Amino acid sequence: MDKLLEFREAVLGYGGRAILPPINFDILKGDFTGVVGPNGAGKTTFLRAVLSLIKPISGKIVRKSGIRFGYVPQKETINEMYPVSAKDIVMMSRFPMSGAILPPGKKDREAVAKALEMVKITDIANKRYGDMSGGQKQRTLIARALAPEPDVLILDEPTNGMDILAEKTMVDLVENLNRENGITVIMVTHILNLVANRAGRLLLLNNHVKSGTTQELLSTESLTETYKGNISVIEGPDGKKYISAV
Amino acid sequence: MRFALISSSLIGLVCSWLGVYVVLRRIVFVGVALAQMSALGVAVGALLDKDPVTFAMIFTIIGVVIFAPEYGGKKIPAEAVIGIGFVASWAFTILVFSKVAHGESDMVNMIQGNILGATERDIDSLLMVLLPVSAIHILFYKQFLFVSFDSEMAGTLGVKSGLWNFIFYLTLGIVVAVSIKVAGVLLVFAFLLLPAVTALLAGKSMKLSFALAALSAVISSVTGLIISFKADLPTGPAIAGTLFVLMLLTAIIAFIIGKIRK
Repeated sequence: MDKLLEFREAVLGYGGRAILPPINFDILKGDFTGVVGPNGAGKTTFLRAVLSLIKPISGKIVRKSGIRFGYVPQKETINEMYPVSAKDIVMMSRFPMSGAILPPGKKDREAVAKALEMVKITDIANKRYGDMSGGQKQRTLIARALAPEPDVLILDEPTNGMDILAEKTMVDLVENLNRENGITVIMVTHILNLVANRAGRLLLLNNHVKSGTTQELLSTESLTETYKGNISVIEGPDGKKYISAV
Repeated sequence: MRFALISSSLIGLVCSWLGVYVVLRRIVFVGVALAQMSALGVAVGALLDKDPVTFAMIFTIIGVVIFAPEYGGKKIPAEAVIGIGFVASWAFTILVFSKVAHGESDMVNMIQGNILGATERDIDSLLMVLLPVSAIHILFYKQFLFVSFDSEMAGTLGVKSGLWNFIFYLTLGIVVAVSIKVAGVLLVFAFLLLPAVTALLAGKSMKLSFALAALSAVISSVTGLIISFKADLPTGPAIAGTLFVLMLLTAIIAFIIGKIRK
């Protein structure tokens, strides 16, 4: 198995204060990993550690040499006042690849066109970001993460503020990128149902850490223990699992 | 008049470019605070009978170090730290000038500027600073734009966001410091704020916004100088007033176009 990322007894936190117990977890090439937990559970801290924006207090995080991440932040963090189009935003992620001074070249323009095509927003490439719908903004940010041709696509709550249909469309898109393009995905969400039938592996964060395959973790017993409450996992006629609090 | 026009256009060109970032990054108050720190430096230079520009630089760089990083915490927000810096430097500027011979008139000059009194030497010292700063911002346009738009994302792709942010604040501080002596606090701040807003009201892209901001600064410099000459008005406020009128006209036109399109 091709390991892209290994957490070995990694304790995460800020200013020397741990906010999560030690994490032992691997991200394998081609995985779709769901990182699930309520607000304040440490999901963003986990992401920041993956992206090397913070270092573990103890333990270690081993990254495959030369690994490249494509990060999709929550769209609310983007300043909409900038007069920039989808294409401009996606091109920015190619800046580090086009040298310190030179303007982006043909290869960069091709990568941008490909990324826009992958998330199906070629037709709105010149639309101003501030004038886009929530779904279009999210697609733009995913295209920006894809343009540098990353090994791992990391999404932080990509369905925030979306209605139920837009939510499904968005997760379908991420699932397709994983299945059809073979992109390794780490998706952070507070909605377990969103990733329950799509992610192969789960990392559940709720003051403690539980990790494993979705098959192992998605049981009434396991989730009741994780969430310290009565959680029910029902298998539907379509073979999919549905989770609800009882 | 010629030196005034050249000085005002030079300061306007560079300040309006940086102003686009200042407005978009929502750090307008940092610009005011740096301008006031610079004014305090000039006052201290005058008190010690030393080169005021050198002291303006020193004080502005101190300001950059204080204002650039996030000093705010849970109890005191970053805005309050910047506000404290502004109020304290304003108060000390008045106090220091009160102990300088002709301090009162110097202080008025410092606020409203005396761009008509610009000399060839002033233009030389402006060029020595503004040309390298412009070169840095043009050459490293990609880095400044990316870090300004999304510092964290830039960091995940290997861009040294902290370094580029510091260079941005440093160049902003240096430009403000060297410009204050010639143009005064009012005009420098007007150049940082108003052309950028005018450009963002009309600009459809970043590059067009930078170009429009620079154009607005130069047009207002020329128009303001002519108005000040013909109507016998103070030059700095006349240019600042023209910048405001241009911004207001652009806002009205943008509003009308927006209504028609709807």
